[in-house]
Amino acid sequence: MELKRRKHDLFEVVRLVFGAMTDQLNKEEKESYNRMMEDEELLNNRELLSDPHAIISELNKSGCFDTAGAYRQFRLRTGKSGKLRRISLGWVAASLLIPIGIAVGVLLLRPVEQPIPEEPEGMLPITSAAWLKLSDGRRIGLGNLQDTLLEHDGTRIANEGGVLNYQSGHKGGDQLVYNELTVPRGGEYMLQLPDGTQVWLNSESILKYPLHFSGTAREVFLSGEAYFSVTRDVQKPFKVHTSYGEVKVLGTEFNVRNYPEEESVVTTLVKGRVLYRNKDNYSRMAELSPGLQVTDKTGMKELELKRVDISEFVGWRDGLYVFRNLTLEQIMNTVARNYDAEIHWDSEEIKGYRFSGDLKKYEYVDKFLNFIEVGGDVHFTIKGKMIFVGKK
Amino acid sequence: MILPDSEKVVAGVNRKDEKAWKVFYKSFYHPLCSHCFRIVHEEAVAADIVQDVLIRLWNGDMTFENVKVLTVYMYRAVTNNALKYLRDRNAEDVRLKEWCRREEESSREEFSSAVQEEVLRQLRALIDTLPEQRRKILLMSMEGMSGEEIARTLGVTIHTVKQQKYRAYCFLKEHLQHSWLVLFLYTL
Repeated sequence: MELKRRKHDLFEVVRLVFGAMTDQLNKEEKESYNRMMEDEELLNNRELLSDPHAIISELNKSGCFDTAGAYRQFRLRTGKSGKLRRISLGWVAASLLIPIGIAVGVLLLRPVEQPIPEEPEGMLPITSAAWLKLSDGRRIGLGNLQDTLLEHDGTRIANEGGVLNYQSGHKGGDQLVYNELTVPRGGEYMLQLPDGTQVWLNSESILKYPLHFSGTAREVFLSGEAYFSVTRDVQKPFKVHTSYGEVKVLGTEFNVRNYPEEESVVTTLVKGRVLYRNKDNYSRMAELSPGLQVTDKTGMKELELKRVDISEFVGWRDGLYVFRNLTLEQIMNTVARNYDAEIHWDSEEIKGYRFSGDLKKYEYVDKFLNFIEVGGDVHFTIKGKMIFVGKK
Repeated sequence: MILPDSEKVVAGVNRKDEKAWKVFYKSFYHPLCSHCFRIVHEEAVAADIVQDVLIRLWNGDMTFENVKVLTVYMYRAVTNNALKYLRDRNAEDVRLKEWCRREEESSREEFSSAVQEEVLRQLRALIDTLPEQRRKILLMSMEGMSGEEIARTLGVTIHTVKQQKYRAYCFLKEHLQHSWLVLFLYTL
């Protein structure tokens, strides 16, 4: 976001005015200052701005606007204390949005100074809440609002409660302008890129992508987990960059998981064909066919390639986590991410216990934890946003 | 002198932190009102429009990457709301034409006003960080009072006035050089 006129930027002009006031401009700046002051079309107050005495006398005018009084009014109208407004624990039950299979919950915003009521119903995941960073640096909170945003290149971004839809309004020019979608813990979001590619972004993930794809490839950047359904375009391969390496495809469906704390990138292919390649060592690469999964992990000598049950890895998109013989720590990490919960362990030992089970997203977490409790040697206590895990 | 990091203030504004908002509010309220007044030509209306913009920002969940984005947004939002006010009144007003932007480029009126208000806001912010005596001496001398007059008014020696004035000017000169980096200078 800029304030510009005739190629002059607000802050640059202010800086030159100060420089001239204190006689600190170098030759180049002086020329630029003179050009600016000769341009009748640029400023209508050149006389004032070029006269330090006039500026000082403006400064000394006390003015008729009472800042202190206005600030008191402001405080009164915005509540007595300006405590942080935060997404609080309040909930309205999640309702399912069938066409795309993503549940859309209603997120309640409530100032924290209100006492937080007990939550008899238990803990539900937040479903669609995310942040969108526009190309001009503004960050906008996306709730369930139906809203259309307009980027400066004409691209329309429709927010339809949990789904972002890009309609290109690109008028030419090859410079790539990026947006960034951030999904917090407990959230998830779906977006459709201008080329028709669909992306499901899981909790605690960030995707950076250009407003239009130009050049020879369609490139996006991922941290966290996402499922891609890529529109086929042989001329322009689609590339997902992760912290370890890139996944290159022509048109297919696959899942990429790249959470920083897991120190790995796991790519699972559902349809078509993809190529995974480590970014530092190009020979560390693998081509996948459907049902195959490749893992690139810190400290691992070779890439790990194996055949997997796809539903275990892509089920999250349809609201189902399938855990097969995973450690309790792995399982609880997923729970924490989806329910924005904090896990407290009574002992290190229980982290390594292994379990299998299905976690249905959008259900209360208690149900799933009870299931594990019944079959295992652990027990859970939920207090607010914290889950305490202990031995039975 | 330790100058608070303007990015910290922006982060505080984003977080709806009360202290940061006070700094932000006090720095921007007056410049925005003056800016708005140039469009609507009514003091009370200008003050209302600015207050509304600030309240909406507080209640909303928009956040800003840095102080420049925040600054531009504030002037833009006030311009837009002031123009909307004129339009809603069905004013057949030359100001509507003068202030309206064509596409990305700012109108001459909007740009000039924003430049002037930013020059004054930043200067004021800078002067406000000076110790009280030095600030008084600087302002008085800027108003054109002589060293002797200032000394008499404040009950200090002419030597003190000269010394403080010199220091104040040095300070201003040094900071105005990179003022585009130091946009918030109120102490938190």
